[in-house]
Amino acid sequence: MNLLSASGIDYGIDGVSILNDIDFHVETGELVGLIGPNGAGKSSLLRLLTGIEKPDRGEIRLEGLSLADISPQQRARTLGYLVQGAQAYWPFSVEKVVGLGRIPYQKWWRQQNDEDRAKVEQAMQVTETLAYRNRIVTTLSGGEQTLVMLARILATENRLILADEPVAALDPYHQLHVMEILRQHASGRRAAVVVLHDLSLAARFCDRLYLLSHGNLNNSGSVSEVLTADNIARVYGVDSQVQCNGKAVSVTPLRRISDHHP
Amino acid sequence: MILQTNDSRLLNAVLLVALLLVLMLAVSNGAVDIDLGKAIGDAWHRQASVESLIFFDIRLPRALLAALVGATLGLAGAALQGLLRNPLAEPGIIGVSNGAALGAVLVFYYGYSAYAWFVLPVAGLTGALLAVLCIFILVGQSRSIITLILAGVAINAIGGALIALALNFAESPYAMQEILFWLLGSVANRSFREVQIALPFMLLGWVMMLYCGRFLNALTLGEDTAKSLGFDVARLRLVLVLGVAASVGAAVSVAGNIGFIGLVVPHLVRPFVGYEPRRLMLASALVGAILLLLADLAVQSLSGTTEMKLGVITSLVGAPFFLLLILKSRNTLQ
Amino acid sequence: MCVSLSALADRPQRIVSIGLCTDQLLLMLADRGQIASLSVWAKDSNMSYMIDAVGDIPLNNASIEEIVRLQPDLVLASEFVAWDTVGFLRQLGYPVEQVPVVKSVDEIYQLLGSFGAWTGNPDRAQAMAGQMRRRLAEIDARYADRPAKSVIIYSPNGFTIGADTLEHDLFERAGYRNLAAEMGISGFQAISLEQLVAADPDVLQIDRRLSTQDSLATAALKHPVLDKLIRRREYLDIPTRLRICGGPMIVDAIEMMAARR
Repeated sequence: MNLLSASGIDYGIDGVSILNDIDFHVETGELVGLIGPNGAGKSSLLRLLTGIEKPDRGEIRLEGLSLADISPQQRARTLGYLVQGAQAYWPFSVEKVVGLGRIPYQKWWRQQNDEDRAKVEQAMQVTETLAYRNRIVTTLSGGEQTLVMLARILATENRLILADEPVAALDPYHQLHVMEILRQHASGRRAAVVVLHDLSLAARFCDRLYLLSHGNLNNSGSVSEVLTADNIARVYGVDSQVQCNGKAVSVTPLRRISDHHP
Repeated sequence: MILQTNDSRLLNAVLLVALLLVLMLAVSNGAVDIDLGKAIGDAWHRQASVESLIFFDIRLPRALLAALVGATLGLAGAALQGLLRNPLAEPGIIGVSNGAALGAVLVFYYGYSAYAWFVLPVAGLTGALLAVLCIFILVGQSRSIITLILAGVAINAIGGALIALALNFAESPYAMQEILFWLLGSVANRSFREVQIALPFMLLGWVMMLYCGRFLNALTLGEDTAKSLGFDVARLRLVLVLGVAASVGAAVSVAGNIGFIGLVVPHLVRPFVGYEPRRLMLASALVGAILLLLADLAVQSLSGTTEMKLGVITSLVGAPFFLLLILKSRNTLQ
Repeated sequence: MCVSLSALADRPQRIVSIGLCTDQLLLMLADRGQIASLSVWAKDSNMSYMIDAVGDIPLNNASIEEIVRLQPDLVLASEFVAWDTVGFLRQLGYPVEQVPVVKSVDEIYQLLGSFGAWTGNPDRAQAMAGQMRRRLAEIDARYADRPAKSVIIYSPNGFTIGADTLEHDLFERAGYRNLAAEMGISGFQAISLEQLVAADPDVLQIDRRLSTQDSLATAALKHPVLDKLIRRREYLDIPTRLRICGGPMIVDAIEMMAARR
C-alpha cells in the first residue's frame, strides 16, 4: 500500500535548481534507499518528504492526503526525521532525549504519563540503549548517540522513518545495528527511507533503490536493477565490482574513471 | 554533577519559600529602624503612621520591584540561552537591555511618558525589540557563540552612545548624571506606580516565554528535528523574542539596566534541572528574584550618603563569573 | 590688558558679574550704567529675585572670552564657582572679587557693606542693611507668640539642607526647628526617603527648582509617600529666589515662613 508518494518535484534554493522532476514513492513494509554522489540532492529530497520544507512544484501525498494539508502534529506523529549527524546541544540524560520523542502526544499541561514512559522504555529496549539510560548523551560515542536518536524516533511510533545518512561515521558494529533496526521497523504497516553512501549496505538492506544524480532521478527499482556496474560508473564515475553471495551483496569501488565529470 | 530528577515541583517549592523569606528580610531592612509590628498594625487599622508609610509605601514597592525585575532577568536569560543555544546569552550581554534603556530615556526625558501610563514600558519594549532585530541581522545564520557575543558588544556600544547623546540633549540639567541609573540600574525610591506600569508587560512576557518551554527542549536536537516534532520554529522564535522584549523592556524602563543576572542565574540553576531549558525557566525566575533582592540588601547596607547603584553589586559578582565561564569553555566556544 | 589700581578708587563703570547671587546685589546696589554684564542666571524665573530689573543688560556664560571682550574694570564671582576662570582673569590683570557664600543673615550685612565699597555706593548699602534690620525686628515681634514648628527641606536627588547654611539661619529666625540640623547634618547632604518620613516634620519644604523638566532627580520629589506624609501636614512653598542668595529678599522669605506657623 502506498504510504508516501511524491510526483513532479522541483526544488531550488536562491535560484539554484537542486531537484528536477522527481517521482518517488514508498510502500508499507519497504525499506527504500536513496543513493547518489555528493550534492545529488538526496538530503534535500528527504527534507521535502518530511514536510519541513516545501517543493517549488509538484505534490507530496501521505496516505493519499496532500502533505501540506496535514497538521504539523499529525505529521510529527506519522513521519520521523533522523537528521544527519544528530546531536543534542544540552547534556540531557539518554532517557530524557528519548523522552523528547513523546512530544507530539503531550499537552502543555501534562508532561509525561505512564504510556509515555512505557513507550520510551520500549524504544530503548529495541535499540539496546537501556544500559546507559542515565548517562549524559553528549558523553557517548558516535554510534551510541545515533542509537539514542533512533530510539527517540521509535518512541514517537512513527509509521515512516526518514533517516539522513544515519551510519556515516559509525563503526561496522553500529552500522549493522542501525540498519537492522531500520529493517525491522520497515515491516507491516510501517516503512523507512534511508539516505546512504555505503552501496554495500544499501544493497544488503534495502528493498528498492532510487539513484539520484545532479538533482535528477537517474534510475529506480530493485537492488539488482539499479546497482549495476554500468550505472555506478555513469553516476559515480568509478569502475566497480558488484558481487552477489546469496544474501550478501557487495559493491567494491575499484578505480576512478578518468574522464568522468562529477 | 547533574541532578537526575524528572520534575521541578520540589525545587520550585523550596525556591518559593526561600523567596518569601528573603522578601521578609528585605522589608525589615532599611535606612531607618522601625517597629514592623506597629507598621503592619497601623496599616491594618488604616492609620497612616510613620512606620506604616515607610513599610508599605517605601520598602514594600522597592522589594517587590527588585523581585519582579530579578525574576524577569533570570527568566529572560534562561529563555535566550535556550533559544540561541548559547551559554553566554543574556539580555545585557546581547544588547537588549541597553536598547530598552534607550527607548525609556527617549520618552522619559522628553516628556512623552506623561501622556499615558504605558508609554514608558512600551518604549522599553520597542527599544528591546529593535536591539534583538539588529542582533539577528548581524548574526545571520551563524551558530557561533563568539559571533553572538561580538554582535552584542556592537549593539551595546551603539546603545550606550545613543543613551548618552539623548541625555545630553535633554532639558533637565540632571539628565546627564542620571546615565549611571540607566547603565547600572537601581530600585531606590521606586513606588507602587512603577510596579503598576511595569507589571502587566512583565507578566505578558513571562507567559510568552514559558509557553515556549517544550519548544526549547526540542530545540536541543536542532531546528530541523524540532520542526519534525511539529513545532513552528519561526512563530515560536518570534513569540519568545517578543516575550523577552516585553518583560525586559518593562523592567529596564523602571529600574535601568541591571546586568549579569540573566547570565549567572541560569548557570547556577541548570545542574538542578537536568539542563532542561523548560524547567530552567521558572526556577531561574525564582532564583533571579532572590539574588536581586539580596543584591539590593547589600546596596542598602554598603551605601554611604549617596546610594550605590544595584548594577555595581551585580557586576562585581557577575563579571568575574563571566570571565570564569569563558575560561572554562574556551575550547568549545568556536 | 592692565587696569591701574588707582582707577579703582573711583566708582567702577564696567562691572561684570558671573554668578546668580552677585547678579542680585549688583542690580540692587549699583547704578545701571555701572553694570557691563550679568550672568545668564539673572534671567531664571525660579532663582533670580531681580529678574524684572535685568532688562537688556548683556548676559554672559562666565567664559573667559566673553569676559575679556567686555573689558571689565571689576569682576564679581561667587566663592566656589569657576576657579580656573578667576585664576586666569587675575593672571591677565583683571581685578576679581570672590564673594563668599553667606551662611547666616549676619554675614549678609557684611556682604552688603562689601558691595557698597566695591560699587562705590556705600550709603545705599548701609540704608539697605538698616531697613533689613528694622523689618526683621518687626517680623519677630509680630509672630512671637506663635508656636515653633519643625521643618525639613527635600531637594532633587534627596538633598536636604542642614546647619551652617543660610537656609538654616532663615528657618531659625522664622521660628522653625530645622530637623536636618537636629539629625546632625551640616551643609548640603542627601538623605533617604525613609529618613525623611521618619523625621516626621510639621512642615515640608519641597525644592521645586527645575522640577518642570523630567528627570529621576525630581521624580523622587513626586513619590506618592510624600503626598501621604503631607496629608496631615503642609507644604511650605517659599520660592527659591527668596532664599537661595544672601540679600534683602530673605526678609520676604522669613516673613512668609513666620506667617505660616
